Amino acid sequence: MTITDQDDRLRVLRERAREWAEQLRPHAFELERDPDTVYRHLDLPAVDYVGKMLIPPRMQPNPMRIGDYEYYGTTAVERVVAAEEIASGDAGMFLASPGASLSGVLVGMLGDEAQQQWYFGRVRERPTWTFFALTEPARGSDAMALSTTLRKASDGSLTLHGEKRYVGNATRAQLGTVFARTGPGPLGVVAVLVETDAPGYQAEPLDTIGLRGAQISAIRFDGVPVDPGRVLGAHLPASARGMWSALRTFNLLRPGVAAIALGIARAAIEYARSNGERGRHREELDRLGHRVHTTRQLILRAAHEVDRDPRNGYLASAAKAQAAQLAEEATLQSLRMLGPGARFEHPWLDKLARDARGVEFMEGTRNVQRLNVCHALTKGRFDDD
Amino acid sequence: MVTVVAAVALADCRAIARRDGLDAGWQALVTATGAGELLFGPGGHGLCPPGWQPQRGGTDSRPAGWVLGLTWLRLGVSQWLLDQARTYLAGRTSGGVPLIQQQLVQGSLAEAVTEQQGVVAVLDALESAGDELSPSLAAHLHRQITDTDRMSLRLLGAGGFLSDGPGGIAHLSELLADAHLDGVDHDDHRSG
Repeated sequence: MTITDQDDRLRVLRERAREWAEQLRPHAFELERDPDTVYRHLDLPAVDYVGKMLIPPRMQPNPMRIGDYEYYGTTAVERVVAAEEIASGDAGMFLASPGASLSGVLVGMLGDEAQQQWYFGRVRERPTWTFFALTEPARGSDAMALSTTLRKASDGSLTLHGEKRYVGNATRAQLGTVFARTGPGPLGVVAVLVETDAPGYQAEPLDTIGLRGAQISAIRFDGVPVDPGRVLGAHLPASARGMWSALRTFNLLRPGVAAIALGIARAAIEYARSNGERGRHREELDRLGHRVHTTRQLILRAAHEVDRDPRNGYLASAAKAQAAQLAEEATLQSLRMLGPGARFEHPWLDKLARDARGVEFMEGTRNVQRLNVCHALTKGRFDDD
Repeated sequence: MVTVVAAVALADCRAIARRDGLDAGWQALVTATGAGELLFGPGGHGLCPPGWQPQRGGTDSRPAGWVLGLTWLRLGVSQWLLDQARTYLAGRTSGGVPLIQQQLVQGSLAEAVTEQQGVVAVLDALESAGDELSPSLAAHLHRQITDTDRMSLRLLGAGGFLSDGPGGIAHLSELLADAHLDGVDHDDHRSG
């Protein structure tokens, strides 16, 4: 396949996802006010597709079908095409949707056959929300500082203790993955599967400026029992199951986050084009349009790169930093184009501007991404092209 | 005169300019496009390296692929410039710490390489799809390259202000864009 979005399979998906996105907008404000709105819209095709994404084809007898094609959401390239379009409808509903998401990638990477069958079986069976708990209060995702612990009692039983913060969907989720420490240092970190109805699990949504559908939450683990069979990657070397796996998961999904940011930027530009005074700000809008185009190509290239080798997340970092910046710029510039009081007169644009602030923090801020990119540059990763 | 241009040869202008500099990249562009004479841009201006002997006098009829090749060339020059900045930063210290280890500097390097990779992605996608580079998108990409070069120049400090060296090459690269592009990066491209 060529590195373009002209590929027929992706073109078909893009066109269809654009239609799905249109159907999200009428529900966007309702979802902001009441995140439970998502339960009433599980039959929307965008929500249905996100719910099926990332389930491996061997475990998914019923993928999304459009025309002659089947879509499993198991490649980064497919995900970025869908994510841009769906997020241009409503990034909040995209993130509020059920599905395997980050923890699905982790289980696909670290889980043994039984764990994968259990996890993906649950996600496939009925609309199931999942969470991925890495970030901690006051420590972010600093691996060395991670302090949630998985304690082993003398009888071999395991319990989880600690707190996580800024975890999407953790309040409504049925299951998810949690990173916890079993010993000192970067090798003393493991990921475990947790069911949210287990005793000692408590989550509550945080009040956020935008992306409220995602129900970004805080979680407490007060001695949550963990079956030893739910520790991921026990069959793998210690170096492959801890933070390494989190970084690789982020690499694989980061292009998708960039695509969500791009979808928000595009929605703002399209709104300003249709609602601004005809002919005014044309140059500004056209420049933003070009910026959307170049960012999209960078995201697609980054997606191809992680599909080729999930270790190569540096282009994804570049793409995510650029897309997050574009989302903020495009939404703020569009508001300025519409004049004083635009935040009040154009609530849709105000929502986009608030949502744009949220993508900055997903999977690492712009500054962190830039340090990743510079690290890759000094390692010679950009020497050949 | 050759009018059919091999895309791979145009893309090669980038790698050659990055490795060997602007003059070598220019020679590659002239070879790839078969431009045997002095070319004038829309404003009637033309540039050529010293010592270059055009086979004929001037013309304002640009060979096929000229603007696309010029974009690859300027991208390669931009990468060469960033490479110069990296070498310079690795060798200079401030307070005993190499400049390249300062996070503010690392952020600027990352931004510059991100902009360059954006241009690479667009040009590669265009060539894979067999699409034309529209004048408006060309102008936008050249503006992006110029802005990126200015980032590299800031990293080179006052040394980048000297005519002899990377600063002079960056200036020549800007002149090439000024002479050969229509200069308008809006009108024919829409988001979405």
